[in-house]
Amino acid sequence: MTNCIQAAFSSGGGGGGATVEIVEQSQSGSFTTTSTTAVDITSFTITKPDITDGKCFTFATFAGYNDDNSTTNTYFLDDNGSNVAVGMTQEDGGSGGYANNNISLVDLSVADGNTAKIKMLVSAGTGSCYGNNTYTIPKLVAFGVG
Amino acid sequence: MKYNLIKNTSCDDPKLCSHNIMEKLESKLNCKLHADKKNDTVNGSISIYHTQPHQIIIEFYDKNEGSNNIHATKFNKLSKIPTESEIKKII
Repeated sequence: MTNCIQAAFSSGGGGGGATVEIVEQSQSGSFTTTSTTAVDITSFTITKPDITDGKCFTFATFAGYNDDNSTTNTYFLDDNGSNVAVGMTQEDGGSGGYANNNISLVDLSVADGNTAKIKMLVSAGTGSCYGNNTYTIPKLVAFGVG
Repeated sequence: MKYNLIKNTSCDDPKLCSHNIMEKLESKLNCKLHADKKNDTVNGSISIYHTQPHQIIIEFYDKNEGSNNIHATKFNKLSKIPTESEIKKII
């Protein structure tokens, strides 16, 4: 895929070309937590591309799930210790109900080789980043161009 | 105090799996690792990556801490924080 994209950048442009690098991490299982302070979601970490004068589009997509009454989960895209994007599940509000929300976290930054990772916390109860190899695979991707 | 443990198991229902491990720890250690409500008092937390094997992170708070702009829960340090071997026996 990287080669195809690089070819597209190069075609008709006089042969200058562009540097393109994609880094991807897929989760093979679910992560649950009861923590009310942000904790790293295990293995949901990547090293962003390091491209001189380059830009990096980082995004994560996954299912956020909580089934405790009137609780929310908060998810963070962390870039070397700074929260650069935040997403939350809806408060379910029902008795014994649950909320299963698609979470997308996006950031455009410098392609600086920083560590990007996903963290989460719950307001109460148990929340998860739900991974199932059949129909929902959490992914964290960094797309660097320079 | 934070413990990173490995448990050689697999599960089909991560939520139920988490609850089962948490309830064992809470009952045997007489502690609270989850908040039922946003302003509950808790002694720590449990996080699990439900792969084969499971990776389990159990945290016991090292100091008392009131609600703040980061968490509405109140943290309460246990008078005796369990050891890693005590936890391993339970889970």
